[in-house]
Amino acid sequence: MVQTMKILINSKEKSVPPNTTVAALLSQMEINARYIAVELNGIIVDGQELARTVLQPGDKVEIVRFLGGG
Amino acid sequence: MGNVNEVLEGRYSRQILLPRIGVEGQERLGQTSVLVLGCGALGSVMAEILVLAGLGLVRIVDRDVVEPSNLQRQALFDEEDARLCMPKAEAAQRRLRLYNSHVRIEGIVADMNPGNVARFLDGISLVLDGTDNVETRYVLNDACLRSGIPWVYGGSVGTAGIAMTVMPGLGPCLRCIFPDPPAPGSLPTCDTVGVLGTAPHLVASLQATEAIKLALGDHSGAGRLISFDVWTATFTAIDVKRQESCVACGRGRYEFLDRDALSWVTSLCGRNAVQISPPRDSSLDLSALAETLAEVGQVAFNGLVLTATLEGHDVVIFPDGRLLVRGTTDKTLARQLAARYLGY
Repeated sequence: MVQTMKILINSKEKSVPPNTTVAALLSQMEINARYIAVELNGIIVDGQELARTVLQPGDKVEIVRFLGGG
Repeated sequence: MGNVNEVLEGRYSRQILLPRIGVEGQERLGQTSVLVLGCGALGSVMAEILVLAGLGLVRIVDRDVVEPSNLQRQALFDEEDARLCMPKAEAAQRRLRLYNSHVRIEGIVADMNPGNVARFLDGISLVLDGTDNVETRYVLNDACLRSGIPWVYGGSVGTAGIAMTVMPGLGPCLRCIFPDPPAPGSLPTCDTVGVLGTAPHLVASLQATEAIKLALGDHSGAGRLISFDVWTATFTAIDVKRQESCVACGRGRYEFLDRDALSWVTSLCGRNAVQISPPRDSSLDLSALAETLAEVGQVAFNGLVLTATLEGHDVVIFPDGRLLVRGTTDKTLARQLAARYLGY
């Protein structure tokens, strides 16, 4: 049986494998990390830490895209 | 004077009825000076709302002229403005003076940069972001932090929008969320993927609401990052925290003001060409950019440089992010092409 844990992404529940990193999550969601910001439990994750930051059960992740148009 | 006040109280009676505004709040709005930076889809809507709402001064700075492609979403301008290539700041000023003669309206045709931003901020209580590129927002963020002036970030592309109030000393700044500007060419822009008019209209409405709140001393919007998509009708609001490690508001280093503004744009003497240098060290993925630009113009990529015809202008894009516009000495045109297609 494959183990999963639940996290919240932009207020929606999602199941991911244990030890998933933020970078892996973005990759799985096909999101280019170059022009987004990731907030994890209220703290903005440094771009260089995305691959080292391991998600924990119940983590709240917010993904925000920079929009340059106006 | 009593007579004038009666007229104004009649004119603004519906918003004076709101307990959060009242007569006193209306007077405060009349004493507030706002800078609307950029007068495209965001700026034209914000300027209109604030002029109608009776602010004291609405200063509009924009470097662009009205073009037919603006008319789908920028309701302040008309076909005649586009036919005459009217500068947006000028066209907006003329139109808005007809809307409300009690508000001071200043239209300034200029390209804001680190060298002149202080001049536009002079005497201003708060700034509304209606710019169309990444770089200008980082300059604005630094300039407002340094001067202690609140500003309201807004952006919109496609059917998506985003807005957040930056309150220096109280909430997070732009660099708390996006520490470094997205790389040139990496962001979709309205000129590459399009935009539905309702998305910037909604962003601008949120920004103008924040401006009115700030004018009344309500700072509750500071750090509240609102993002949405009008097509899927999904809305998110996140309360962003100030980052102690933030280079700009945490450590007080205003890197985007240190740049030599003149280095951005260079006329190449004797070559009838203008070069835009990237605002920082960059390395472009030219093959990816070629695919994006192929949607909107003729593109050729020889493995070294990308050449393209964009809006009838021959441009060359280098891997280090430089944009060369050939056959012109018009620096404003070159800046526009860089903003539209490379996002800086």
